[in-house]
Amino acid sequence: MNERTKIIIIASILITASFIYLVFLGMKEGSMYYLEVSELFDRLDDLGQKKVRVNGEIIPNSVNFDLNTLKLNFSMKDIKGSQRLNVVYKGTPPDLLEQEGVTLVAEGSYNRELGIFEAKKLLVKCPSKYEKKEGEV
Amino acid sequence: MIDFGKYSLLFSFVLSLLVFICLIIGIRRKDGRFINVSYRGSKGIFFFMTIASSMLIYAFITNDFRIEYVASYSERSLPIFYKITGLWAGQKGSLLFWGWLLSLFTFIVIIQDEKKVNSVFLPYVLLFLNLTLLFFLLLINFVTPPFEMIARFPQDGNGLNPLLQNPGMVFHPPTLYLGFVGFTVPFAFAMAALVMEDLGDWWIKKTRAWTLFSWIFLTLGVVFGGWWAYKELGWGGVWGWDPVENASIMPWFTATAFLHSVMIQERRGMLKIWNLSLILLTFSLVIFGTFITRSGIISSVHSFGQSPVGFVFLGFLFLIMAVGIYLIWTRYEKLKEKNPRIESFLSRESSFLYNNIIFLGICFAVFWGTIFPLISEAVKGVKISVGPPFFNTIISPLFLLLLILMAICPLLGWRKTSSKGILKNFSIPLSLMGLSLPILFIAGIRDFMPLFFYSFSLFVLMSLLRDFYIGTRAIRKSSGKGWLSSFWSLVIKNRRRYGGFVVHIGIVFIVLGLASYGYYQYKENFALKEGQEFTVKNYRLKYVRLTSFEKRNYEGVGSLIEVYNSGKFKGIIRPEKRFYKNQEPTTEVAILSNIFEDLYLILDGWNNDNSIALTVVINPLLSWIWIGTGVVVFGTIWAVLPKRKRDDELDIIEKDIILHLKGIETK
Repeated sequence: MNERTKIIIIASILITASFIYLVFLGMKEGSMYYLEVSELFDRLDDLGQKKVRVNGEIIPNSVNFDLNTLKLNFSMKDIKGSQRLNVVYKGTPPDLLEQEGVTLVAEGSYNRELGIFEAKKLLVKCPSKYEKKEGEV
Repeated sequence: MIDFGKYSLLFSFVLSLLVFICLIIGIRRKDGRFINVSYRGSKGIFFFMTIASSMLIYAFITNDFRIEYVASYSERSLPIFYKITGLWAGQKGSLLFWGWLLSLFTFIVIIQDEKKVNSVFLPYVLLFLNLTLLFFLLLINFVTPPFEMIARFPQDGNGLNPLLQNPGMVFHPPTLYLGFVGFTVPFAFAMAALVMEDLGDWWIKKTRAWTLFSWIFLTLGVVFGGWWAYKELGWGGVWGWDPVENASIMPWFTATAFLHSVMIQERRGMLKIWNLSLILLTFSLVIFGTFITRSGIISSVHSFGQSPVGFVFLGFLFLIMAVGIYLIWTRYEKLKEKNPRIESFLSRESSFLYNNIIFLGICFAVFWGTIFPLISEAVKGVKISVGPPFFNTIISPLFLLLLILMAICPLLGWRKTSSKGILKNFSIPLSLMGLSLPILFIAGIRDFMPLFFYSFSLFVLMSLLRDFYIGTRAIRKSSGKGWLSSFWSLVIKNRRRYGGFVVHIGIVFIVLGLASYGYYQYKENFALKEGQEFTVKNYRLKYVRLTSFEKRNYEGVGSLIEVYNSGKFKGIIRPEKRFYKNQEPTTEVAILSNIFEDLYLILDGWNNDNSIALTVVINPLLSWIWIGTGVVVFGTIWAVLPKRKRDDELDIIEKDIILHLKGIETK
């Protein structure tokens, strides 16, 4: 093995190792559970104050935005479950919140004492297509 | 008219089959007549696809809501240009648009070379272009027919999603598709080279313009997407590392790597397998991105209508990769490097190699983060999503490395460069960078990453400007011309080099904008009464009053805000909420931007007494993302513009001068 091959091998090992370390670090920083509403309730015990993402449908007419406190309250559910998750969020309410069939991803943590999900970030999934039911005009 | 469109599509499909058969026979029997028929057939496909696309646009303009697709994405009162963009508003039309672009590109490839004597490669290239087109025509005709009718159609149409009623709709999809579809051409040439076992760099030279063309449109498509998401609330800002966004940026990373590595093959005849694999990977990622976007398999903010079409793309993806890998595998012996390997760790070619490793690393990280929810669900039974911190943690340091490479690349010669020469030449940019650190620190930039981003960016800019300066000075000395005309002859005679450097300057601007946006965004919420004044940082704002207004297809409520920046009146802006017919209200932000920062206002809501809730955001240096993109486009066009003859003659002399003055030893 000549000098050059040695350098290349050592360099490749170093590069790969540091890349894997970076990915590992990134996973530690950025990964969180992505749960449906019912799954969140199932896992409450081992979640604690951990940040999670919850996906669900907004319950119609549950949306309330207080202009003075800038607090947005609403409830969401998932397709199978009947459990309601109450969510509070401070900040600008996203658009199309009450559109039929709109699903939403709330990022934050569940406060067990208040029984409310404190969201730090809301992402509304807006279907680019409005799937009208057959025959509907 | 509907039948006209429908049958044009069917004709195109039949023609495409015919072209395929003729090509196979023509290539087998070496019979030019069959090949000529296939050329004509491909031109015919372009003709019929143009008719079909025009028919769909015509149906949109004439409000033909008998067509299900038109009814779903339009309404009578929609402004005319959103009707035209209806062509790509939904999946069915998008695929038709894709097919039309591909038929157009195929047409151009044919007329560029069919008359030339030595165009033996053309049938092979056409074979791959036509196979891709055949796949799309199959989809358009039998899976997602755009001219499908509905029995009970809505009289006025169902309307277009208000979020899509934005200028972004005019720019983002077509530029992105131009980029996506454009990469089919270099891909087809690469595959043709493999089939013909003619593995020189002819296919790279032939497709250089195509590659840059596709790259620039892909870049524009991605940036327009960010621009649109910046203005549309709830889409996570300029860049949110959403799966659909990632799907568009992954091919960008590999394409950028490809742009750099092909230069090594052109110059030194190395990295043949690598380049073939990179273009295969780029095209595969384009199809993979379409799969992610169309299947809805990974949840995204920008979820498009979910449909089984996505999985058809997955099948196509496997087909492409199988064919590509098979071809490379069977030609491996011929591809093996005969040429000298890279001689030094410090040379132009090795810096391109580092660049490639970093870009592929970034691409892999993005890929991993995008599909991780699927992996974790399959392995652990629970979905784990990775958010922006994952991507930022990995990509920030890798981008810093890219900045360093950009800073030293002007000084690296082919083959070998002495490290002493580099250090000597870097004394000024390096010391400026060192000096900038404490200055930035005192100015209030205390975080690690932005501190590095700012000072490294300065390093790159200084190093590039220095190169322009040295080159100009050299020409001025040898020719006796003035500074300006020396500068002009420098950049016009070495377009590829200086075009590339201009692109790098643009990239640095974009990095500056993104880093500032990511690290130093400022946000504050206000509850305000009419006539109330308030201050945010250097801005004094006044909420004048609430207004309401009526437009063609929506009603709006807006709050008039007077803006004073450092005491100077800057104008009145109006963040608003819009109420489209049959739709939920949507928020329209108001932005006042200058080169230092963007003032970004969101109207959160109002009470009966006209008091409002307003969110004020200040995004420092944000407009540099758009300015930088303009610079990138300019630089790319500069690099790709054909040279005049007399420029070529001077080119060689020029290079000697530059190298001589740099004092860099090249063998």
